Amino acid sequence: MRLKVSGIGLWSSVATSMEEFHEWLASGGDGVERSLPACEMIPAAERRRMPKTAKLALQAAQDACAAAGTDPSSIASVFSSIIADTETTDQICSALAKPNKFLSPTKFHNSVQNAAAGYWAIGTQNHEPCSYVAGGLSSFAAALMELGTQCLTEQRKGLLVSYEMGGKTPFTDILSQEEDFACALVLEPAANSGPVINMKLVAGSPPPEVASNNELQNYINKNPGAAGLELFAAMATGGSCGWPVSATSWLEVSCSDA
Amino acid sequence: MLHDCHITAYTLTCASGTGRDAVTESLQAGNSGLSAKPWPNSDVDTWLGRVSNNAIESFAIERVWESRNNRLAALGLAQDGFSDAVADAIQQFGSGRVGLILGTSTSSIDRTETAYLNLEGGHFTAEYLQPLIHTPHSTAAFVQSQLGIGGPAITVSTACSSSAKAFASGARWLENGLVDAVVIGGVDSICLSVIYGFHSLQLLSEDICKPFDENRSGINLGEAAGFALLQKQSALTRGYRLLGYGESTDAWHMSTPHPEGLGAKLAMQKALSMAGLKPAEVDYLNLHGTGTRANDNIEGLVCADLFPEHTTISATKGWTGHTLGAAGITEAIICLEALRNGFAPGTLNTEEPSTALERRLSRATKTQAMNTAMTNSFGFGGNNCSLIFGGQPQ
Repeated sequence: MRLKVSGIGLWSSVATSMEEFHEWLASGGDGVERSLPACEMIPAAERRRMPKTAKLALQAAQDACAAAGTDPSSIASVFSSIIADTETTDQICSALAKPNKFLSPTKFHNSVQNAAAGYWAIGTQNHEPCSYVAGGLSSFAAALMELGTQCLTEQRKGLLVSYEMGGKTPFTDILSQEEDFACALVLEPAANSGPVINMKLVAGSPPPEVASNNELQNYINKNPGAAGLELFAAMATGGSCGWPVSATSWLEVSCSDA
Repeated sequence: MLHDCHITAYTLTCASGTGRDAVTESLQAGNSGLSAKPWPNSDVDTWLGRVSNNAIESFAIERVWESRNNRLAALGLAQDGFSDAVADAIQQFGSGRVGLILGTSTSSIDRTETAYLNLEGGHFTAEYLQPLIHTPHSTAAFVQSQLGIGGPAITVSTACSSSAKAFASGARWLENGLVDAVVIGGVDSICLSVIYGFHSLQLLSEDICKPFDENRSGINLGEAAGFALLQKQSALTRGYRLLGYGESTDAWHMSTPHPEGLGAKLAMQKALSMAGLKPAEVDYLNLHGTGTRANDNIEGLVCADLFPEHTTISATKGWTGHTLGAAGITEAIICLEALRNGFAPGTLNTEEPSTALERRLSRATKTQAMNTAMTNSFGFGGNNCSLIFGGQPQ
């Protein structure tokens, strides 16, 4: 599957753009903790109810569309994470463990996995197909397959938004994500020339990670929800990356200027 | 039109039956699977469409996969020779060429709820330290391992449209040659999160669910496991096919449908357009029909406007309850059974059909030969999907 990445966006606790993120890595990880994005695209009444994950995701999504020069109201979208909103899930499961089991209706509707996707549609007045997919630690690959096949079948642009939150809850024991992180990219069917990403399924397991950048690899190791950075690194160097999609096969993504 | 989307096997387990023949028998006999029996540790007064505990608990599953949702998936996979059909596809195409797309909203949150009752110092205890189980991908990973699927497996989680959208994704995977066959699944189980969550939104009915009744008072939650095998196999000239899908977003509110049904209408129009059908060519429409005031009112207005008098229109949640993330595949399989057996399910429990649908709701199940059947699924986040199936028996 040949596709083109026409814009990217990034928001994390340590950087609000890809450039800032590289500076942060190069500086050895010093810097100011970023406050949550304002998300002014969402009407104030709705914004007050938005979970943190939606704020991260929407900021990265908006930046990717701006970078691609794409109208955010007419693009199909696929949102993805490994667990995502551990804060809301923690609050709901804690409430259910109490005798009266009282749940807030807002918390409940925010607990659907497609909450960020729903707020994105409301904020951009977008009526196009909108989805949420997961694939365990290979959730980013799940989203690439889902959106890639959609862009090619329907010959349209698509937005991929990958996000995960940090913070300490019982879920920290099963997924160690140190920081809030979201990245997004706009995909479209590749033209005959220009940079492409080529995706295919390959039997076996992905080759061991090539540590072209130790700091980046360390960051991803501490933030499995930031796997999208592997693709951005491969795009920058014309290299490749991949993720296992079953016990016996993996998705290989090779990037080139051809 | 989608040319290469054959459905070569399918199965359904829900409150109204274990296996598709049992479900069809209950549809034809008018036996509801709903009951007023309370759920353990819940004091919410509502009816539920549960699958029998005995059936669910009869399966030995490995401790690492333990959850009610995964047990329900295992029960579903054991019906109608479905696992054998997947084994045949693996034999034919190779395991790496067979994929899985599973729609779910609850996934194994039932297990996470239990784990929270047993936290020690803010940590899961050893018994509940199951890394994949406490993520949305739990049941897809379990089904992938049970079926020996060596191709990609993903979870779609868009609330109540999840397993309908899994069909759309599956069609695209086949179209692009990502795989040669793909298992579509939908598994959702009743748990405290959904009981207390829908209760907090005042959407649960204390009475048996009466879709599209003037006096309807809300949802009865249900649970289900449904699976279908989609293949790109042009050698098959007969059999059932997915003819079209339509996906849209309301962009209106997180838990209330668009007041004019804008997204619902778009999803239906897109599905019709892909299938190359006019509304008049749809023989049977299975409504989302949850039994809430808002859904049935808006869906009724849109469908009365879109479809002519002769289209048979009904809602089947009076048999199954609202199976949430599994509702899409539950009702897709009811459509396939309607095509296979030549009957149109009616609308159980409903006494006074809603004026929103101009009182055109089909109440009684009837014999009807048909070529095309359509189903709607609408979810929180304003997420909509319509599917159209057609074809003849093999």
